[in-house]
Amino acid sequence: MADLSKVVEILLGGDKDKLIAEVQANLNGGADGKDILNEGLIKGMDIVGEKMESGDMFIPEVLNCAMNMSAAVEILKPHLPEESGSAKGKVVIGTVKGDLHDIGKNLVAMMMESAGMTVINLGVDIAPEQFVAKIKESGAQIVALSALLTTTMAMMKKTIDAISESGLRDQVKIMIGGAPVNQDFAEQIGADGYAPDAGSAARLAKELVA
Amino acid sequence: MFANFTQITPRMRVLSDSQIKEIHLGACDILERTGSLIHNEEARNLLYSHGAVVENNGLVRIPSYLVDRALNTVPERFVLCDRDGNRAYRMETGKTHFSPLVDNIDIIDPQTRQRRKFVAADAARMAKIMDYTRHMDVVQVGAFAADLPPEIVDRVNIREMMLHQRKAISFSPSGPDALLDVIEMASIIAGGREQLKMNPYMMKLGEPISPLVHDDHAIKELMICAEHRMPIVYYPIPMGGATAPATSAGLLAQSHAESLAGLVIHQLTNPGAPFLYGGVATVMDMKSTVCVYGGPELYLQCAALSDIATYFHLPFWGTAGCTDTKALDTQGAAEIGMSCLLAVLTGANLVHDVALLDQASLVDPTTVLFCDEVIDHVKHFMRGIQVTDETLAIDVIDSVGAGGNYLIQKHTLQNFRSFWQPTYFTRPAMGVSEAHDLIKALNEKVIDIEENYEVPPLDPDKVAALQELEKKWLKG
Ligand code: B12
Repeated sequence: MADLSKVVEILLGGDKDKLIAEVQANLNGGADGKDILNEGLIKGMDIVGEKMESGDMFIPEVLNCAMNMSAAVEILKPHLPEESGSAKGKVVIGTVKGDLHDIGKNLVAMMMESAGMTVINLGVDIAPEQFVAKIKESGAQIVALSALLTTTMAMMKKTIDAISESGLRDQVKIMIGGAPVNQDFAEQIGADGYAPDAGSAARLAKELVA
Repeated sequence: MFANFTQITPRMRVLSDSQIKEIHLGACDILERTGSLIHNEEARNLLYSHGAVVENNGLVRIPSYLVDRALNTVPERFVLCDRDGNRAYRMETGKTHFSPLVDNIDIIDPQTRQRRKFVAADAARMAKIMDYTRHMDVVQVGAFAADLPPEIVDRVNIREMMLHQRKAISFSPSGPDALLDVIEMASIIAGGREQLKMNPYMMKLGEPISPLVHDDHAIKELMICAEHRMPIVYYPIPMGGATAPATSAGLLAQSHAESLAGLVIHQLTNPGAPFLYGGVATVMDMKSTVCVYGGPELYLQCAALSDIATYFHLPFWGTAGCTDTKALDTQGAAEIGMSCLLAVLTGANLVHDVALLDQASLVDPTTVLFCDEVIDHVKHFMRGIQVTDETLAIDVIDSVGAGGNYLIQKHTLQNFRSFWQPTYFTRPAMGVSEAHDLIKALNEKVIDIEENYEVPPLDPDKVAALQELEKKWLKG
C-alpha cells in the first residue's frame, strides 16, 4: 500500500489545493481509492477530532479540514466502490417551530457533514408536519431537533409525537439539543439521544446509526 | 479659578471620528449593496414607497439617503420614568443607568445557594431586590418561568414587576399581540396613553438576526413601538467569526448596518419616536462555541459602538456586569468589575445584562447586590475631580505646613464624608486574620431584604385596572 502519511499531514495543514494535488498524485501513482480514503483522509479527520477534543484545534480549523476532505472525496468518488461512497447516514435537522436560533444547529449540521453524513438542513421555525414530510421524502435515518428557548421545548415533544403519529417513528432515531434541554428532557419526551455540543452531536449521530 | 470650566468627567474613546466615518460608510454600502432580508411585508412596502429597492425574496436595498433622514429625525435623547411617574432615567449624554435581567431559565435560590429552575414565585422575590438596590434603574423582563404557560409568562412577569417594585421596566414580549397588551398595562401605570408617550415607563427589546436578517415579529413590534412612541432598543448580537466577520471593524460595520435598517423602518413609521442604539458586539469562543459574555473583544467592540452612537447623537445601550462563569466566583467578579467600569467610561446610557451568569441563562440575587456595589464604586469614580479654591485647599496646606497632619483640620471634617464608603465590600484593619466571606454576607442581605424590606404598594385603582385588563390575556 502506498504511503499515505503525507495525505494525513497535508489534510491537517488545512490547504485545500495541496490536498487535492496530493490525492491526485496518489491516484496517478496507482494508489487504491479506498486506501486513500481510509488511511489518508479518514485517518486525518480522526486526528482532527482528537485535536479538537484536546483543545489544540479550533472550530474554524476543524471545519476547514472537513471541507477540504469533502472536496478531496469528490475527486476520489469515481475510484471508490459503490457502497463506500454512500454516506454514513442521512440526517434531517431543523430548529423547531417558534424558534429562530440557528447558529448552534448549523454548527451541528456542519460537524455531521464533516463526519461523512448527508445532512438536510431545514432551517428555523420548522413545524412538526414539515419534519414529517421531509423524513418521508428523504428516507432519513436521523432527525435532529434544536431549540434554544424554554418556550419552544414543548414543540420538540409535539414534533416527536407527530413523527410517531405518522408511523415513521421506527424508521428514525431522534436526537435533540440546544441550551435549555438536557438528557433528562430527552428521555422524558421520548427522544433517542441528547448531545451538549456540536462535536458530541456528530459522534452521537454516528452511534445512533451504527 | 479658571480650570473648573473645563472639568473632565472620565471618558474613554476607542475610535477616532474618521474611523467612525469609515465604518458608517461601510455600513451604508452594506445596506445598499448586500441588502437586508426583511421578513415583513408592511415594512418592505414602506421602504419601497420611500425609494428602497425590494427584491422578490424579501431582500431590501436601502439607499443612503434614507439612513441620513432617519439619523436626522431620531431624537438624541429620551427619558424613562419610574412607576410613580418621576422622570428618573435619562438616556442622554453623561448619564449611565444599569439594567439587570430579573428572570431567566435558572436562578440560584438564596435559601439553599443551589441552582434550580426559575418559577413564577421568583419574580416577586427578584422585584423586591431590584427595588432595594441603589443602581439597578431599569428591570429587564426576559419572560421566563418554568411553571407558567409560555404564551403568557411575559405579561405575568411584567405584572409582578409592576406590583412589587418601582423602577422602569424593559421587556421582550412573546409577540405583537402581547406587545399591545403590555402597552395597555403600561398606560394604566402611566395614567393614560398620552401620558405614557410623554412619560414612558417601559421600553421594549427587539433584535435583528445577524447577519442582516429582520424577522417578521421583530419588525412588526418595532413598528408598533414607533406608532405608540414606546422606546425600543433594536440591537443585534453579532458573534465575530460565526455571524459576523472575525475582524472588529467588519463586525462593527455589519452591526451598524443591522441597527440602521431597524432605525430606518422605525423612523419612517413615526419620525421622532424614541430609539436606543446598541449591540452585543461579541465573538464566538472557537473552542466551546459559546457566545462570549465576558472578554476583551466584547468590551472593545461595545465601546466602539458607543463611540458610533455618540458621533450620531444617539443614546446607547451597553452590555456589562455579566460573566461566562457559572457562579459569582473570582473570574466572575473580575469580568463584572472590568465591564462595568468600561461601560461607564465609554458613555453607555443604559447598560443591560447586569448580573447574568452562565451564558445569560442564570440569575442570582446575590450577584445583583454584588453588582450594585461595583456600580456604586464605579459611579464614584465617574464624578471626576472638581478644582475650586475650596478643593485645591492651598490655604489649608499652608496652615498645616510641612510635617503636620490633616486629621484634626476643619477642612477634613467638612470633606471626608465624600470619600467612598463601601456598603458590602470590606476594608478590614491590618492584623485581622479572618478573611471576609463577601458572598455569604451578600446572600444574608438578600434574605434580609426578602424578609424585612417592604415595597410601597401600587395604587389600588391601578391594581384593579390591571386585574380587569388581565381577564383579556390571562385566558389566552
Ligand atoms: C445569538 C442569540 C440570539 C440571536 C439568534 C441568532 C441566530 N441566528 O441564531 C437573536 C438575537 C436573533 C436571538 C433572539 C432571541 N433570543 Co436569543 N440568544 C442568543 C444567544 C446570545 C447565543 C445563542 C448562540 O448562538 N450560541 C452559540 C451556539 C453555537 O450555541 P448553541 O446554540 O447553544 O448550540 C450548541 C449546543 O446547544 C448544541 N446544539 C444546538 N442545537 C442542537 C441540536 C442538536 C440535535 C444537538 C444534538 C445539539 C445542539 O450544539 C451547539 C454547538 O456546540 C443566547 C444565549 C446563550 N448563551 O445561548 C440567547 C438566548 C438563547 N436567547 C434567548 C431569548 C429569550 C431570545 C428572544 C426571545 C429575545 C431575547 N430576550 O433575547 C429572541 C427569540 C427569537 C426567537 N423566536 O427564536 C434566551 C433563551 C432563554 C430560554 N431558554 O428561554 C437566551 C438563553 C438568552 C437569554 N437568557 O435571554 N437570540
